[in-house]
Amino acid sequence: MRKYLLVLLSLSIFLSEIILRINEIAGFFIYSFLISGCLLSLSRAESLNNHAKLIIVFMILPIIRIAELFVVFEFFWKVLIIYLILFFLVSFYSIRFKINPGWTKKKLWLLPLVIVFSAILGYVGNVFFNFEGYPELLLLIPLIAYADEVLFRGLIQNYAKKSYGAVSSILFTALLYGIFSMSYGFPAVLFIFLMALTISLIYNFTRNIFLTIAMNMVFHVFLFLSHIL
Amino acid sequence: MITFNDLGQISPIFLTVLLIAYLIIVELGHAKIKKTLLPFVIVLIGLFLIIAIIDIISKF
Repeated sequence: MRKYLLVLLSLSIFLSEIILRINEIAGFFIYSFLISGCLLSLSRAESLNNHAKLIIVFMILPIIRIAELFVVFEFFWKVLIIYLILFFLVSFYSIRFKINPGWTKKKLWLLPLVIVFSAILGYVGNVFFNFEGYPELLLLIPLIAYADEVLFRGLIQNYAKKSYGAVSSILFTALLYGIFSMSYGFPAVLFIFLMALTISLIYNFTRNIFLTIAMNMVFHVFLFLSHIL
Repeated sequence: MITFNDLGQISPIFLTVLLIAYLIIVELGHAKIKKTLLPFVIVLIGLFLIIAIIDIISKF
């Protein structure tokens, strides 16, 4: 069972996202079941090992979706509240688990390269998939990039790598990020998955979170706002 | 960005049920894990309080 955990978690998130798109109440229930399943599997764990830590950091995703279902504010305020919750959770767990997500100067010379690459990719995404522009989101992009990267790369990818190896961790993290962007439609999911795959690969080889945060920021700026800029 | 722009319609009653169920299930298992899961409870309680306050303000 433990061997197929990553596949099981990816499939359950995929299914939950599809059901959530069809019906919010059904989506809420399936996410609640997913959280209950994670809690029950944790209740059998004898210690706080890497496997248990992976399930705990994975649980942040359904918690965020459930929180989103109850926040009925305007889009800007909603994104702000959700990302503040995410910021709190990722900061707490990176301190609690004493994990360094990659705050290092190592291989920082790659920064201009990854910025140009992300800008091109973001621009291409904007042209082909016509993402809606929210100029006010520009203020939140540092928070969005920080929370996304520390969660997906710093916590999920690191714990998946410790338990299942580099290749599985890269694919799992990119898949989760892609699935979680399903609100933009299926072709865009594939595009975002490829972007996430690139970020995960770069993180795996550099272990530098500054690079991936910069990539995420530039990618989002060009993806949502390049037609305004 | 991992947020939807068209979600946010569910009744707070569901959240109450989830919170209670969650608190019950959290009580299972290893003591160290229970402590680690506390932030999730804080988030759900915080969310519940926000919804309750907004509901009270909008009604009166």
